[in-house]
Amino acid sequence: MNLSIRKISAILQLKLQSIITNVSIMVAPLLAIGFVLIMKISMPKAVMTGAFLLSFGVLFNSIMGGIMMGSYPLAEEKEKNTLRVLMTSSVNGAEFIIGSIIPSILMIILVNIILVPIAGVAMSKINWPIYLIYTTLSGFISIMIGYIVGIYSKNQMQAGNISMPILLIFTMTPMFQMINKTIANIASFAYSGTIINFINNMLTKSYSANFKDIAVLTIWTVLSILIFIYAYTKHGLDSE
Amino acid sequence: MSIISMDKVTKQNNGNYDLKNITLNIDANSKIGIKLPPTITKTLFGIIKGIIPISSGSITRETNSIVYGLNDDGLYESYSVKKYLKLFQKIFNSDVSISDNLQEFSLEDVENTKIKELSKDQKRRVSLFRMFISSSKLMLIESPLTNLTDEGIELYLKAVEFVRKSGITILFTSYYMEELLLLSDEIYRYNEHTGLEKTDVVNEPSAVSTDDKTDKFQPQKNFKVACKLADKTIFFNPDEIDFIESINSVSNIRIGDEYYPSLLTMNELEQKLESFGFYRCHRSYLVNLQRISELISYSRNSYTLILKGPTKEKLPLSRAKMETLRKLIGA
Repeated sequence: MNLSIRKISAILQLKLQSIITNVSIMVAPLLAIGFVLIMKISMPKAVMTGAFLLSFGVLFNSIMGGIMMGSYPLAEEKEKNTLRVLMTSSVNGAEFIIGSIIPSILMIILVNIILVPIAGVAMSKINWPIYLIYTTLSGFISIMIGYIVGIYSKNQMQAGNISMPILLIFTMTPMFQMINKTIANIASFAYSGTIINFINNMLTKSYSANFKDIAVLTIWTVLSILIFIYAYTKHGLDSE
Repeated sequence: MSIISMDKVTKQNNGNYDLKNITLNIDANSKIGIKLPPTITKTLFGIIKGIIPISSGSITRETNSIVYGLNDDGLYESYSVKKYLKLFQKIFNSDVSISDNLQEFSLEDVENTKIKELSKDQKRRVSLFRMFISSSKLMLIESPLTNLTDEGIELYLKAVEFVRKSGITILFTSYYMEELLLLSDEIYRYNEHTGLEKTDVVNEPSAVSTDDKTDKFQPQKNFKVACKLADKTIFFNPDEIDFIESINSVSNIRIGDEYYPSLLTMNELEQKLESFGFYRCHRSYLVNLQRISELISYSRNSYTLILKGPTKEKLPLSRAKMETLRKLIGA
């Protein structure tokens, strides 16, 4: 499959605009920033620690935002029959995917960085390389999940319906962890669980990259890519 | 020189035929129109472009620069016309100038307008412009005139003319004969049993000379039924016709699922078509004997003829005509 930088950059510009102008997608990063800000101002400091605020914001942004940025634009293109026009205009699936992932990832990284000062965490307390790698990877996994949802849905409404339960499960991970030890244990194997543990440990104790976290994230990444490739080769982007 | 030549191309899907027996040569600068149902247009386009594999037959492509547009293709509504076209200019890596050609597509005044504010007429021309930017040798377009206003049709035809002048061959498909008559010179009809059949179309001479003598030179064995649609007259071979039905004292030629009003009366048609194996089975029906597949008697005094084809059209047959019919078909 030939990849043309020219076409990818054309798609990239197109997608950047469609993400920024789509209110239902932008709601995730904006909510992440907004909620963190409101909770920090309105709630007592003892409950709203920096660790809680930051992990809350990152979950919202990377997971909810990622899944939405993957599924909605793809479903929208299918719904409005514009994807077919691109595909018959010599753009291939890989170019489309690469061109669409880049702006989404950049957006997630940017918001994850902004969230640190907003949550009131000192810049020096963040282990930046690991923070960026972990949060970006979880954003990537979410986007992949979003694409899988997008492949199986015909329009934005359906994409919303399918992604909502997935989205809730992963964003609510910290609440599940509070229920009891067993569930907390299970949740630590979810990629969202890893992110929360990492942020908590980094800000309260000290964190060093351990085998379990790396393995969990790697397996999720590989698995999401494999499922995506399976869905893509079976149905194509446009499963009419 | 043929850009595309297809020989008995057939596409099967889950045991059903999507397309059957397509034999078609698309010559450079030809103006072909194909009448076919919308459901299979996408398959045909995909096959011609080479993104859908065929089940049997053969297809040779002189060029791979083929672009197609379907009737419900979408545009990026939040983009302005210019921005949208620039996006595709970049994708196609095209050196076609946008600003120089806007006038040809009658889009000069809306260059900076957002696409969602355009009328349907204008959107269709933006789509055509987008395909023009690709500098493809062959364009395949589905029903571009459907739901357009009269002005929209006029401007679209003007743009089509311009595209054709710049050396691009365009093939149109539509479910409506009228639309194809406006867009193309060479018209084929798709029949799901026999494949593509060419329809003879003759352009109406602009100066009408009524010369009655010409009628006398018409050989009896070479009769064609004339039907007038828009400003063109279509001629059907008698063997294409399933039957003729008189509705409100107009004789309607029935071919497949379509009716074409004829200029002649039932009596005139009966006289002319008798020698081609047509029989007046009822006061308002003239049937092509070759199309009869069954004869059913529901009661002692009435008979029903069932015709070949997917619709299994039923025609009444009066008892008095029964014997003559039996003799005619030798049953």
